[in-house]
Amino acid sequence: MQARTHKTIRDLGRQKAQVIAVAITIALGVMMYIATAGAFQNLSASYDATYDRLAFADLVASGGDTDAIAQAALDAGATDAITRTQLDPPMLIEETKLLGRVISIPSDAHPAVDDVDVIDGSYLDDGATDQVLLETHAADTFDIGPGDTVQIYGVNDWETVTVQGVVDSPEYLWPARSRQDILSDPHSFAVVFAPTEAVADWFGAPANQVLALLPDGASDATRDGVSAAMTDAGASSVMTQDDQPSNATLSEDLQGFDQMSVAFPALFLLAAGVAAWVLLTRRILQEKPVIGTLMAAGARRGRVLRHYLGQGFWIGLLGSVLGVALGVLANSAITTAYTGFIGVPDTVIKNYPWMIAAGLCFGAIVGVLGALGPAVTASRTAPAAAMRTQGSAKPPGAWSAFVARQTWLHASARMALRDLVRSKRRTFATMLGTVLALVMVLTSVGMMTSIMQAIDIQYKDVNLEDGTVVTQSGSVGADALAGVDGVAAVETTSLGQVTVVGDDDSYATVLHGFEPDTEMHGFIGMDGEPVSLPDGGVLAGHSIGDLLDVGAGDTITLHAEAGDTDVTIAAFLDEPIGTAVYATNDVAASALPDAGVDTFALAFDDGADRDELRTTITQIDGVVAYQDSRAIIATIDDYLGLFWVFIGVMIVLGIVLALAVMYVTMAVNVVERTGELATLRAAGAPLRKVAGAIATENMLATIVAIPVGLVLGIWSAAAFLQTFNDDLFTLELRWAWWTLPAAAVGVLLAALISQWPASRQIKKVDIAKVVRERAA
Amino acid sequence: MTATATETQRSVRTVGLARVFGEGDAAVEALKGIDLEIASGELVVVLGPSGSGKTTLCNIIGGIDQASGGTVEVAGEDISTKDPGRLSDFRRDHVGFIFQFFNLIPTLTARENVEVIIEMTGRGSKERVPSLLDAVGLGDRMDNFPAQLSGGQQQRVAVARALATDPDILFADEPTGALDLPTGRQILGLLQDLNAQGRTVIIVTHNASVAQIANRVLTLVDGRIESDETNANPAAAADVTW
Repeated sequence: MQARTHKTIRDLGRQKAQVIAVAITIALGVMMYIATAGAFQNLSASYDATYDRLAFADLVASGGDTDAIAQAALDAGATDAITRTQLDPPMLIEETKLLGRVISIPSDAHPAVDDVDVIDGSYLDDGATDQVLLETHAADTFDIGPGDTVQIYGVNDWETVTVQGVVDSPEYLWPARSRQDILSDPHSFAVVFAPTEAVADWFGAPANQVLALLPDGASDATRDGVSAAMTDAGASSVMTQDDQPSNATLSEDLQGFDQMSVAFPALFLLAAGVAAWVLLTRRILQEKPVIGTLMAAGARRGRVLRHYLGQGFWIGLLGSVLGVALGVLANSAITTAYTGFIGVPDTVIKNYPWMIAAGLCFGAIVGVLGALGPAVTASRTAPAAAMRTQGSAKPPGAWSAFVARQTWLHASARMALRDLVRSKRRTFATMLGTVLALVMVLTSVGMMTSIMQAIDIQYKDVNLEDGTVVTQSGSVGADALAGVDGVAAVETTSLGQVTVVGDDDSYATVLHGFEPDTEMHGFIGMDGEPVSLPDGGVLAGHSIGDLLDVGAGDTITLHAEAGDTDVTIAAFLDEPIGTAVYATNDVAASALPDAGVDTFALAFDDGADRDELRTTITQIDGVVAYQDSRAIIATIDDYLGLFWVFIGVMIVLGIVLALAVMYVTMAVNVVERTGELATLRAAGAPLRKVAGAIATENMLATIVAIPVGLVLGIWSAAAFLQTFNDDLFTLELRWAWWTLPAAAVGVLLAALISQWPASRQIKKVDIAKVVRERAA
Repeated sequence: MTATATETQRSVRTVGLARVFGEGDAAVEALKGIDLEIASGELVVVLGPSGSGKTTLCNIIGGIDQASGGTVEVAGEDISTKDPGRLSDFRRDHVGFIFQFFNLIPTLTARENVEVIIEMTGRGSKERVPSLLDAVGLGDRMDNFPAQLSGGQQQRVAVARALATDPDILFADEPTGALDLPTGRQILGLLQDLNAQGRTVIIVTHNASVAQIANRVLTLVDGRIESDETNANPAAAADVTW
């Protein structure tokens, strides 16, 4: 081994604690990159595997002559196109009445598009008309399986059918009825796949959907061409795979991984680069006489440069190797946990060589970049100047002169204030550690609190009803429901699927009808002020304005099975979840077809027993479905469980980042000031006071950085949140009152904790040795 | 009794003092059984070539290093067995140090460099700081930063700093090592003045010329006292030359 390699190894060994801290920071950055980018790739691959295996439809057309639309799709380039019937009838499952979904499938063979994967029991028997396949989420919710029965409300009566099998469906990996219903009471929705003949018999309805598959790797142009052909053939709306409710919801989630795989690792690698810079600058200052000696002996600048770049490279490589190892493990764990939580049938776990190579490169590059400045400085050292043991001290600047005049402060406090500018590089690194930690923590926490507050607004200020009831048309009056003990108010409502059509685009959503002076729904205008339902016209979620390029006062067409209705948009609404259209019951009735059911919104007395209410109301003859709004919140809480884990991990990593950077800067601070500290200790200054003085300086740098970190953290959180905004979610950055103070206190605590190893380092300063070495 | 007690508090006594650095084959005996007594009010110069153990002796007596063997009694206290915390208290109460390279805090003015010692040790009075700096000839430079002072002036600040806690014994380790002759003479004169005021002063140096100002000269060679000589007529600092 060459002598300079020995030197590199021993140099790094002499500062192993700091080297390890920098390496850990790099390792965490690389680990986050491998874990999040790998999880993103794996989750995408897992979805794709399921979608490919089960032939997930690329396009779904609704309405019109389905046979003609299917043919048009094939003619335009689709590889397959099938027709089917999809309806949302009342169901009775394990004594729970709900509005379910029935989808027709052939009994003699699996459907060519949107197939199902039987995970329990078996597929439909050929020709059977009393068997169904139950989607797995409903099977789990109601704890039923093959052999159990469910009842489906047909045109005239309840049909009792047997569950032949439990299935996964690519359309319901996330069980969303529609894009406006991505979060719902699990007891209020169930998907049943029934034989085509049976569906026709129960409902007397023709096929109303066309599912089309495009060739593998089809271009956007092909997709748009097929979509246009289906529209031209009479389809009232064509939904792409991207817009499919389940897929759109899951994609929203995946997008988070995609964002994280870039943003958060970058924070760590930036911090690590700065920490390496501080560490190696210190080393080079310390080694100036050695460098001078080497250069006096004829060492070339390039060799000196490479030597110190090499130190950065090895620190980076050490961290990135560790990071890759941890990242591979984390990638597997995240992918498995996520697909398990969501219930994705296919779990693809792969480690991508290009990603590992990129991770190793990132780490090594960060180390080299961190070393670049100090290495260039070293290579430009003039031998004679380098070998002078006493550097030329610079006179103090304006800040020091100003602080010196503040004689009301203790000298030790003045020392701390002045030391902030003594080593700007070190102070900058300390501040950067603080800022990056806050950015990371606030971005994570901001997303969480904003989602929580959006949900809070949705279910406290917007959806004011406690429950909704669907009854057979004319069978149960509002008075009967109002008479139930615990029900405070009942209002008639209406609900149906519509396609909102503008000049150039259309958007499939739901139309809600309410009484003109309803107390079951809060309509919040774009200015945050409440608005009322218009006598004619509609209120629309603001995304409709963006999607269809329409404004308040413009006329849109509501397309439903009943026909087209032109209405005016009276105002847009600022609702956090979903994008719906609202009108009075009268306007809604004119636009929606007669669904054969009545719907009611209920408000409960405070403290009402909701379980008892569910039992009482669902036992009323004529009630076909019931949904408790509180249960939706429970579902959301369950859904957010994974987020809490994510937030917790991010906060821990943010604190680790702060600790690692601050530890390095603290350690360097102590090393740079060993002589002073030894002098203070020699004079009998107790350890706690000496350590306290150094800690005060670092805490000051942290405190100065906190406002900057808060501002950048808020900005980062807002920017990160913005990427999630679409027609499914309208998220605005909202903070709980405690968030910002807690983040600041958390980072301060991390800074305080990082003083502990520095204090130990001061304690270990061998005063005699320092004095001896300086005297030698 | 009082005179005896004062005598005891201001004396140094070592018996069989040994210091070994390293272990096994790498062990180096820096001090090999030093027996020594220094009376209160003496100005002692510890002389010796590099590696003779003079700084180590000074460090152990001053309580910033611990002996490997033997006993050390300073100002009436046995410091051989004190833990680091108690040694720190001992230094605060009894000793002051002056180092070759001053070790001033560059971000503090001359006055603050002295004040910060008083603040951190809790011993001494900040009101005395101007008079201390005045005494070392820096009455008009006390608000200057180290970078605005010459080497000699910085060493004067270091002397004032060492006096801030009113120590019984002043240790100066190569106090003129980083200074030119005229400045070195000034510092030696200052140390002589402090000794004349009754303070015990111990100077460690390899410069034999410095020994001229002492009333006692200990010469260490290879960890042992080679000679212990008294000087009845110490030279004035201004007459020293090297």
